Amino acid sequence: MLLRLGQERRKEKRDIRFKDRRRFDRRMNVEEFKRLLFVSKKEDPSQKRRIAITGIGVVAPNGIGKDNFWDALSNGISGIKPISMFDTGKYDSKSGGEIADFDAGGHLGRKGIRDLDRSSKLISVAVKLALEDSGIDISNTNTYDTGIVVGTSLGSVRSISEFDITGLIEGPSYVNPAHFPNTVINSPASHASIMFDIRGLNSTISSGFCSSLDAIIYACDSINLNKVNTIMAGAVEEFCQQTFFGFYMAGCLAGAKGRLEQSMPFDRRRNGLVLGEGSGVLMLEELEHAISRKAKIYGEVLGFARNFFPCRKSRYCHSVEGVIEVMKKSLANAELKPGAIDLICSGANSSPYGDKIETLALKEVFGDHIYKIPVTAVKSMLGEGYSVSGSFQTMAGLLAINKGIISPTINHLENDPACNLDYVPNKSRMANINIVMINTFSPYGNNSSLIIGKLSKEEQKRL
Amino acid sequence: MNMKTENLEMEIRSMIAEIAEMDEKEIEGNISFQDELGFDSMTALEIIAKLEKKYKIKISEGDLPNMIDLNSTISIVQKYLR
Repeated sequence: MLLRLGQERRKEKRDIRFKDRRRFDRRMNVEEFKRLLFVSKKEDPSQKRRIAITGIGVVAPNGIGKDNFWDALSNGISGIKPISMFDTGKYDSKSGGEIADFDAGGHLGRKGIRDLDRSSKLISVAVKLALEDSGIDISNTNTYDTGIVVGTSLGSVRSISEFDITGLIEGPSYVNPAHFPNTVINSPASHASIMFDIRGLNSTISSGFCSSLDAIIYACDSINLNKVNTIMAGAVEEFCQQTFFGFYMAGCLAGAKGRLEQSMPFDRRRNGLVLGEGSGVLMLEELEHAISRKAKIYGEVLGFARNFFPCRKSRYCHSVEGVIEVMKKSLANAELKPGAIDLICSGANSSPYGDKIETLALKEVFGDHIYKIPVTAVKSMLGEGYSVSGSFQTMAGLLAINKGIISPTINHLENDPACNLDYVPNKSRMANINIVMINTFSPYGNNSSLIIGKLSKEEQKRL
Repeated sequence: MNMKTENLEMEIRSMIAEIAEMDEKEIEGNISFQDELGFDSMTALEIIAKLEKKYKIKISEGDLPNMIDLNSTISIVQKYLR
């Protein structure tokens, strides 16, 4: 009797679930959703909007501002040096890509930044530089048509830690309320929005190593959905003892047990990553909007893809299938064949396993073409910036497209048989680059890929 | 706890100047926190937290609306220090 009752109840539940699903299917009819979304804008949903990159703002360990950063990349200048922000006496690893001389007040003015944490200051400076570079002046007429998307994952760690230390040691009533906003992950994006009065859209993407590209992809999606015409998309990550300690204890950092402490992607001697920091912001703009205001166009977003292939927790173990799939999807999204790619800005960060599987994945996706395509790893000069690295890689791609300079993978002295591609070792190279693929992968399963390209000559003439 | 009014005034003035991001000389005794320095409720909480921490006192919420300028803030702190 009880058994029958149980069976009936399960059947009832199943029926309810089925009804719910049908209701859900009706509610989420994608075609209808698209029709409703675009009908008000009188746009054809099948018509993908083209997205131009019209501004670059960067604060990196080897240069602040586009020109300084590009010069440093072109000359293979490393931003990695002995850590000065805290005492590294008790750690085997002692270097990082910190921006020791970063002076936010020099860029933003001394007033109004007292309570901002390092992440908020870093992103605000990058936003200011991107705005200046793009020539966009935010006013009442365009603020609702301008958005910001910031990728960050560890940006609040130091603020949370310091806020909690005061609360726990001195008591909750002694914390500084003005420092509370810094403890939330969306504070850098929000502080930048407040500072520059950006009202169109404000989002924070937190997907670890892939945050930069995911922020750019989110921004492109927003432009494609007609939300806004201009979006600043980028990322920020700050260097601090708390995150350094976390990576150190997880055994990810180079230099442990007396080994060589250097960021040397694809080199046989690589033994872990060197942490970095910084912020990078790109001004993304609907192409016709950019052309109509005669903007300087650095390049165009041609395609992108992201996925998630879960890996084992706490182990630096990329999923090869995920990396292969995301690159293939990105090429398909851009409607390009593997042979069309002129340069790959790799996410390799000097980790023994990660660099190897990226090479494996590239060989799988590109076949024989890969031996003709240069693969460069900017993390050799900047360290692993975690969320911000993808922005730096994209800017290295833009350097190649605009100046014809492929930035080198420095510290590359000993070849690894498992990594036998053209990594542009130690010295930059001149080449005519039209299309660049940028890849970021995370040990936890996130994978993102972006393809950018040079604007065609006909469109350049319209400018 | 005994503290000379002069020292107290100097210390609180310096604290307010730091929060307002202004020079100490610009912080006059009767300059309005809200209208002239642009302080909001968050800033008021920050001032109270700093005062409580520095002087090891507990300021009652009832005193908050009376802290409208430097002079009133000094007299409220003095009241708790006595």
